[in-house]
Amino acid sequence: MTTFELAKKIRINTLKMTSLGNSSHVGSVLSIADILAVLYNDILKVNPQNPEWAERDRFILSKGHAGAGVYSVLAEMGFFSTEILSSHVQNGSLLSGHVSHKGVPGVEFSTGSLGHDLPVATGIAMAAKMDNKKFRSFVLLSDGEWDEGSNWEAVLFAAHHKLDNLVAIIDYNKIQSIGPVKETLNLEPFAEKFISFGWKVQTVNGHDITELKNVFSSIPFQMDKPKVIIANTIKGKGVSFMENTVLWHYKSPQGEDFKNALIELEK
Amino acid sequence: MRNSFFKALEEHAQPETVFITGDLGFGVINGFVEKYPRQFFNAGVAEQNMVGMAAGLAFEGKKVFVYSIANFTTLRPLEQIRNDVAYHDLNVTIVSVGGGLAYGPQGISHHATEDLAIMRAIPNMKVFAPGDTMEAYSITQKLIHENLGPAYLRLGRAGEATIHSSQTIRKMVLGKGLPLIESPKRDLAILSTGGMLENAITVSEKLKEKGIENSVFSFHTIKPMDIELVKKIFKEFKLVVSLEEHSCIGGFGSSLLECLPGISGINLENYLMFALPSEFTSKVGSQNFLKDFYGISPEKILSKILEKRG
Repeated sequence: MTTFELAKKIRINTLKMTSLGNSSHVGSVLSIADILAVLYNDILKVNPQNPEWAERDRFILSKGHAGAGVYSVLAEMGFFSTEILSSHVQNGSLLSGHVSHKGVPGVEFSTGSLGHDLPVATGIAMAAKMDNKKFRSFVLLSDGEWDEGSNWEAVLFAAHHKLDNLVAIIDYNKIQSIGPVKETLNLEPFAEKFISFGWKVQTVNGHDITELKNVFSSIPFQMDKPKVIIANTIKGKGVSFMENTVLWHYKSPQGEDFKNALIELEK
Repeated sequence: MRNSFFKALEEHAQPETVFITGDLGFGVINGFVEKYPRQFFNAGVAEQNMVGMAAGLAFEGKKVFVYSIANFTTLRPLEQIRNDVAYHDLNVTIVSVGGGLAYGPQGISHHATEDLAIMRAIPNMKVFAPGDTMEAYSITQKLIHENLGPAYLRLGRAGEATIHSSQTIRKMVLGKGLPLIESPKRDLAILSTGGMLENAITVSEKLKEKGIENSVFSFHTIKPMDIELVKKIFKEFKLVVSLEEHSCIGGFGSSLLECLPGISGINLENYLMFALPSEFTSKVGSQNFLKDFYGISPEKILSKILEKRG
């Protein structure tokens, strides 16, 4: 499967899952579908036949509300059957709305409360350093979760300890829970904040698969510094009427909306 | 107790042992730091990151101890403890110093009087409140060598008594109440947790001087609670008293009562719970001053027991 095809599958799976489960956050997954596809198809050293392979790269989705995206990509990569996806958020399912690792091969860490997982990924990166292991610690965060002070605590710590095996990716779609980021708590100048904290920053178009591949492949682009990749993205990317809207953070795609979205995604 | 914790850590540390402080422990952490510089981190005054990181380290096979003053390691990073450590069932021990009113005159920010209740309520979490320096040492040693998963270790400060002998401490088993004084007469049982053990012994001796036979049990483990022992004590003894330096809501006394529903032959009229009222202190004072003010000093405990016995 090409990375482009994988991204398309993530989007279509997610649309179906959030429709079947009458659940929210479809826009949040569409925003990161290309990043997930590039990471799993081209970058992360993982083994679907051996999810706990000790040398694998670790990946945590800190924005746990986009769990449907992680379940989709893991199923498509062969960590478990794609048939399970239709049970998402259903009674008795293993696939909760926010990512949970219990009984789901390939999910490293359970998330859902924002601001938790840069610290966790920092601990993982530190453990790798202590044990002279070569694996890398990746964490994908939303933009809204940079309101959380806990992230900035980890930013200080990771730079102080020169954790260059830590890679934070930010889904910068500029819309958070109930409104635009810049009207909630403006993050700009965003890249400069990380530079001044001692991180190495790369900015990328989060929907350009070639550009994403190039940036991720160049890791580690600087020794002795943790990395942050600020991916400029579009919330709801791929479905015209969902793009750049707050509404599709919450709304479940049903009826005509579902049909029209599917037509656009299958194009 | 604090010093015993560090002594055990220094003497028993394994390659996977990691100690992280939230910028506290001046003068007491040096031994460990000098011996194991690569297994020590100061997270700075940043407890949420400290606990999140501990989860990440433990996820990779480390056994992590995070350390600060009680409320700073429990209440501040509570959600990290719940979601990151406990849900993932990781080997992280939350170590708190100054449990109860140990920081007396420093004010309510430093009074840890709800920690047992809150930690106890979290699934997968084990809760330990050693009663003396030997229990603190022994529990720490077990936490280092065994895979106990998420744990809370409530320490006092420096200077607590050593109550056990090398013989009695050998009988200590995690998760089991430990009899320290056993009287064949089943008149009165004193059940103590944490640093109240010293007071329990004082009260016990005073009662004995007055001819009142009694038994003393140390409950260094609050969770899992030794349900069978608790049932037995409540069934056998005419009067049961529990001692804790903690709120009356959700702590040791509450956890004893949780063992009893459905058990016949128990009369709770014959139970006295010595705990703190659920309130913020209106007084400034030392640990002993505040304990007396709230009726949990040895003198107040003794007089209430005598009053109850009539």
